[in-house]
Amino acid sequence: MKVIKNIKLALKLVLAFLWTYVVQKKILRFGEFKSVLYKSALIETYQVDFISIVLPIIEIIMVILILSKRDIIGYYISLLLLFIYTGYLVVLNDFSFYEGCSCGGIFYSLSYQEHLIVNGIFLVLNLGIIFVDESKKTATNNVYSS
Amino acid sequence: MKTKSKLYNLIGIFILAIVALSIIYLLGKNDKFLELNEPRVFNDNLKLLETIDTEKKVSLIKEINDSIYFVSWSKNYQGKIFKLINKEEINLNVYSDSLLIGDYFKENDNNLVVYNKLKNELLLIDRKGNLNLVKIPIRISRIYKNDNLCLITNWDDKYHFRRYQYNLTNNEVKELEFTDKYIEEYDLSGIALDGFFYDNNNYIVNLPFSINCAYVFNKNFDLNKRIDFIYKKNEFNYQVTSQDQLVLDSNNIHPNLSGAIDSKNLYVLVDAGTTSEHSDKYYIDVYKIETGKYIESYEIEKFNRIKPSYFLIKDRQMYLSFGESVNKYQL
Repeated sequence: MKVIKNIKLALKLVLAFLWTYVVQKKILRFGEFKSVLYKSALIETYQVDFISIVLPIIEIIMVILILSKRDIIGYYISLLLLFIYTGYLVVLNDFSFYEGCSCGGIFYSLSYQEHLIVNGIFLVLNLGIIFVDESKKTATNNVYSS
Repeated sequence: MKTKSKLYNLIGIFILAIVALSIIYLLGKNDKFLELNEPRVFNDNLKLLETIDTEKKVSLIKEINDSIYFVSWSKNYQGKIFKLINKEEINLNVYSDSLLIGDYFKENDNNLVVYNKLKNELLLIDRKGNLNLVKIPIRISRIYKNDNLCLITNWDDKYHFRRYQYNLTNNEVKELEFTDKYIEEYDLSGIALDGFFYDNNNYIVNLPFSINCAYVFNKNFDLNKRIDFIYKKNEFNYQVTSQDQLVLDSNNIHPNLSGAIDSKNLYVLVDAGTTSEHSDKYYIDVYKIETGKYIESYEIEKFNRIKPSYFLIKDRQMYLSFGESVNKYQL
C-alpha cells in the first residue's frame, strides 16, 4: 500500500512539475508564446489572443486540481492536453512547421523526435497515475471488504 | 468495474482529443496551393547515387574550390562550416566573436567570405588564414559579394524592398534602382521579394522565397531579366495585431525553398502547397537562364519523412539535403 501511495505521490509531483514548468514559461514569456502561436500553420491569427489566454488558465486550473483532492480530474485534463499537444506536434511536423510548438524552455531545444518521445513518456506516466489511483482505491476497497 | 469505467473515461478523453485536434486542423487548415500556368514536364531520370549522413541539419550547401560545404543552423553547430565529404569543420577560430552565418562565398582568389548575421559584418579569410573584418554600414537582409563590391538587399521601415551596392574599398553605399512591378503589387515587397543569391560565371540570380519569379543580374549588379515561373502569382498576406505588430499570415506559402544554378540553368526547389492533396509534393523546376524559358521538372519525395531543403548542382549531379541527410543524384 505504501509503495503504491509513494508511486502515486511521485507521479503526481512529476505531472504537477511538468505543467507548472510549461505554464510558467507561457506566462513569463508571454510575448514569445504568442509569437510562436502566430507562426503556427494550424492557428489562425484571429485565434491567437483567445488561445494565448485560455490555454495557460486551463493549465493553471489543472495544476491546482492535480495537487488537490480532486486530482483525478486533473489527471484526465492532463491526459487530454497531452493527447492534443502530441497530435498537434505530429500534424505540425507533417506541415513542416515544427516551429509552431509553444511549449517553450527546454522543450524548445528538443528535436521533433525527442519531443515526441518526451510526450510519449509523460502520456505513459499520466496513464500510469490514473491506473495507480484506481488500484489504490481497489486495494482499499478490498481491505474494507475483507 | 472501476477499471472498466476508467477505460471508458480514457476512451472518452481520446475521442475528445481527436475532436479537438480535428477542430484545430479544420479551422487552421491551409487550403493554398500553387496554380500552374502550364503543366509541368517531368524528367523521370533522376537517379539516386548515394545518401550522405552528416549527423547535423544541413543548410546552405555550396561549392568552394571544387569541394562541397554546408552550414548547419542547429544550435550546437551554429557558426560552423563543414565539408560534406568528410564532415570536416572549416577552421574559423581566427574569428573569436559570436558567429551566426547568414551566407558564405568564395572569392575569385579563393578567399573565403563569411557573412556574420549577428554583427552585420563580413569575415574575409585568405588562404593563409588571415582575417580581415568589414563592418557593413547598412542592415543586411541578403548579400552577394563580387570582388570589392557587394550587392545587398533589405527593406525599409515600411517593409519596401531595397537594393544597394556597397563598395568595400571606399566604404560607400549606393542605392540601386529597382522598378519591378512586384515592388508595387506586394505591400510587403521587402519580405515578399526576400531570398538568397546564386551565381555562375555570368549571372547572379536573386530567388525570392515567396513569389513566382527570380531576378537575374549581371556581374555589375544590373538587372538583366526577370524569370517568371510556371505557377501563378500567389497572395502574400499579413495582419497587424492589437499591439501594432506586423504578423505574416501563417497561411502564406513560401514556394521557393531554395535554388541552384549551373552554367546554363536555374533550378528552383518548389513546395507545391500545403493542402492534403499537395502536402508532400516537391518539385525542382528548371529554367534556362539565358531565355527565361521553363524546361522541365523533377519530382522530389520526402526522404525518411523529411522535406528537401537546400541543394547544389555540380557536374550534372545534384546534392539535395533532407534534414541531416544529403542525397546525391545523377541528373
